Amino acid sequence: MKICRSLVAAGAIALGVLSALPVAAQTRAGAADEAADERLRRVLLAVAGQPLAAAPFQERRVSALFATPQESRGTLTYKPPGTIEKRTTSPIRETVTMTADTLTIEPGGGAPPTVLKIDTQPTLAAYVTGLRAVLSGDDKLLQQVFDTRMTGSFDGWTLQLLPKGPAPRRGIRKIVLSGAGAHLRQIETTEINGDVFDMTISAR
Amino acid sequence: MKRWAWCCWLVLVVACALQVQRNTVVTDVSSFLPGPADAAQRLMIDQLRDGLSTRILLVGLQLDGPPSGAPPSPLQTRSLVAASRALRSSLAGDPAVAWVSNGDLDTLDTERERLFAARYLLSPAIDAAHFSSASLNQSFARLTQALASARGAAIRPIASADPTLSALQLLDKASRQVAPQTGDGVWLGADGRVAILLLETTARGHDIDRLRATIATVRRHARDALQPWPAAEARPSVGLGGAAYFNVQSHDAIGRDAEQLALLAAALVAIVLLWALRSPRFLALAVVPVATGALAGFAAVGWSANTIHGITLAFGVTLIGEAVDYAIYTFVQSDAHGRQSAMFWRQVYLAAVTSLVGFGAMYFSGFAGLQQLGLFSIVGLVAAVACTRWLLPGLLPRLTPAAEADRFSWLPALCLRMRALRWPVLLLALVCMAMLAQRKGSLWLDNLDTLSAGSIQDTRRDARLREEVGLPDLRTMVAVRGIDLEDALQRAEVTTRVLDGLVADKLLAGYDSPTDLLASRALQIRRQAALPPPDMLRARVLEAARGGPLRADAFEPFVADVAAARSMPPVDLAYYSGTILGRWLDAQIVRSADGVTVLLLLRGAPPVAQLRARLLQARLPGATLVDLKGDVEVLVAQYRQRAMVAALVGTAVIFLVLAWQLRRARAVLSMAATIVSTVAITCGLLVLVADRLTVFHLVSLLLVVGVASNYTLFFSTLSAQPELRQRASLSVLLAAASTFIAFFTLAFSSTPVLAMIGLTVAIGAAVGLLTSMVFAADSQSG
Repeated sequence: MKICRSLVAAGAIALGVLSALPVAAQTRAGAADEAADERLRRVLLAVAGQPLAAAPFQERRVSALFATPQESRGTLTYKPPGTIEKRTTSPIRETVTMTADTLTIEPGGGAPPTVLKIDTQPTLAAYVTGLRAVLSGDDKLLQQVFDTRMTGSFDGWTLQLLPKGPAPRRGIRKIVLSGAGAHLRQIETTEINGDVFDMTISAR
Repeated sequence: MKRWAWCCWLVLVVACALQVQRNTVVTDVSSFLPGPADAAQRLMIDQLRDGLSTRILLVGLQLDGPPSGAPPSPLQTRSLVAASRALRSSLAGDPAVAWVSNGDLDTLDTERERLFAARYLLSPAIDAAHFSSASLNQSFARLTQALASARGAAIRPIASADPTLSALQLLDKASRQVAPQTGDGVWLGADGRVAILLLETTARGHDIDRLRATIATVRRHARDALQPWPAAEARPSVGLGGAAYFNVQSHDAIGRDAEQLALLAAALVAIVLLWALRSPRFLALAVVPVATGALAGFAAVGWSANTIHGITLAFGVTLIGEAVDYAIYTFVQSDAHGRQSAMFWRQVYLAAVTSLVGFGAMYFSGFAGLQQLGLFSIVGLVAAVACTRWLLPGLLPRLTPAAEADRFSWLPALCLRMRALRWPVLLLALVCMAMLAQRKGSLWLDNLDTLSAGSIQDTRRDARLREEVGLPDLRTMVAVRGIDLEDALQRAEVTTRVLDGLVADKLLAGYDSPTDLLASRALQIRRQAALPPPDMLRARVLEAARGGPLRADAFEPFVADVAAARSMPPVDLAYYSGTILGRWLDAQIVRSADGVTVLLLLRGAPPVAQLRARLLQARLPGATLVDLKGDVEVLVAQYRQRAMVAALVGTAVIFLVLAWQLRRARAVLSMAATIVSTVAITCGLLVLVADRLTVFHLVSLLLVVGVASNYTLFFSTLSAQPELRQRASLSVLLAAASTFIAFFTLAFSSTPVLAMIGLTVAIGAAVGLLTSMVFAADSQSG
């Protein structure tokens, strides 16, 4: 009888401990999340505080289709409140203007521009939304579209973006941005087919 | 003799009731149309009755709010998108829905996969030259450029399997057909305030009961999809559009009209007769010819056509106004012993014959719906007159002369005084004729759109929803006939080359051809023959990639896919089974006993006349431009002219019959004046009220001629004896009043055809009564 009672008591304690464990884990994870969120907000605020103005970039694409990495160059500009202008000068001339809804491609040489609705281009949608969210410091939009993971310190941060939801996931596996303080230095995008392109942005 | 008559009546009623039970009611406007004269018209009418457009339903979840088109809040947009997706997936699982699209490309993965797999059999770019080393080298150069551009994002995932980009054009075109333009991943309308879904019902276009059930189901799904709507926000309203919806609406409107207007007209006529004649017994007996006539009419139509049109059903109302006349004449004009003179019956027969001639003209008009109305009225009238002649006389109560004399003693004097108006009425008739002659060019309206019962609000919403989803104008198409599907597809392929030219000339915004998805077998086999075997292709890829940045071995998926396409069976209809593309194709392929017709749908508002001219010029075998709206107008105009001839012949016959019976030059002249001025003044008033006249006004004028000639017949044969005079005048007055009431009630119908007939005959009965009084030529006229 006594044994029985102590067994029950032990069981109850064990149950209590077991059920308390995940709570503790959650609390810790929550605290870590909050700290990361706080860092993310701080970094984004800093990045948005110094909008890119014709910042030179160099892009290097490693693709299964090409024997050697393909390189391109140009400048990147962010015009608040939400327009990104990517001007490529080599190997082709092309200006791409990205807004919340549309992507306008102007080929060099005065050919008429192509206007695409972002929603119809899932690969672009994820990329453009991510880039716009980062450059405008919109952490809410960013977290709506991606699972974010912030690592490193403010002076040397890395932000990994994994697309949420069905449509963006079709094209992009992940985007990794890194930088130092307000300076966004690198954007490395891995597409679903394994292609990786790596954009390095120079400080002015 | 009486017992014999009642026995016959009973047998007739039972037989008719049995037939009427088996009648099915149809209400689409197309079955009211004249019968098709040729294959093109048959196709057109089949399309109107049962084509894809009749099965399309549009659902709009509309945010109510400022009409200024203020953009919705992010929460509203998110909720609309969620509701659109929820509604799409619940509708997709419903057996009443053949396919549904909310514009979401994610739901079209199966469709994309099928098209991608068949790209080397379907893409117009495929020929032997497409796979030469030189051509591949150019393709690779283009691909390299495209991959360096922002456009490359869409190409990268498929580049190794499709380096010549032959699938892109195909996918683009096909996805535009079923999911044209999207916003936020689903159709949200230009102002973002309405989520739009497009669906095809499994119910056929003429199956109104199933369509009605489908609409109720769709509404229920929409309510469920809006359940999780945020409580703080106003829920969107659910608006429907599409021909399927409108057909059900007009069907129900006709049904309501038939019931409510019949009851109303019967009640009003009963009140007037009760007030004037003070005989409930007469009223009860008057129901016999009216009800028997209506029953016999419905039975006859059902027996001859198997189906009865809703409009005919509602038209039954008018028989109250016609058939009760004979009972009134019989009752009011019987002598002190309740008997009728031989002369009186001759007049009744004559009156009936003139009405029958009018209905006969309707029957011979060739217009399916009007034939029904004509048959219904002829049989109904004969039955009503027979009942009046053989059942009523012995049973009718006696009129109390004293009461009559006092209350209606003013009537004969009024009739006499009216004759002073001869010249003014003739003048008025002349003015009306002059007005009609002046408007000759714009007098007729042959557009059947005016005949459906959709409210203006509904129609506007429908047009907006269609525009938003970029649904092709399903009423303008090029029909290409062939002896079988293969033949039709081959001819359609020739036709698309001409259409491409029209697109290049900006005459046409674009078109959807079934050959985009289903090239003819011959063409597919030709394309297959142009595909190189794997080793050859591999060697050419190697050669084409030499010196360029692309790696030849990255394109093994391309070599494999081309090899698969070489041996795959040509794409047929079954290839698309279970997909939206398959449904869409089915709707564009029409099979008939003597061949197959494929329909090429035209986008934008195409200039019909120019297109027709260009197609004729190209001498394409089997291709005709079908413009449902315009062709129906032409058809209606043709039959209007035929109905006009029938009406003139009918009027002439009525006139001749009466002239032969009256045999007095004076009476014949006055009758001519009555009929001509009645028609002229009625038309004049109609144009003032309705602006344009339709074939239905025209045919109703035949009824007016019949009615007016009846009145003039009685007024021109008035006896010299004062009491008989007064009675005859009273009977005509009451008959006219009941006709006027019945048709005037019909004029308030929400079904345009019924309202037109009602208005015409109501005006005509009133004008006819007045003119027949004015021009009466009895023994006392001078």
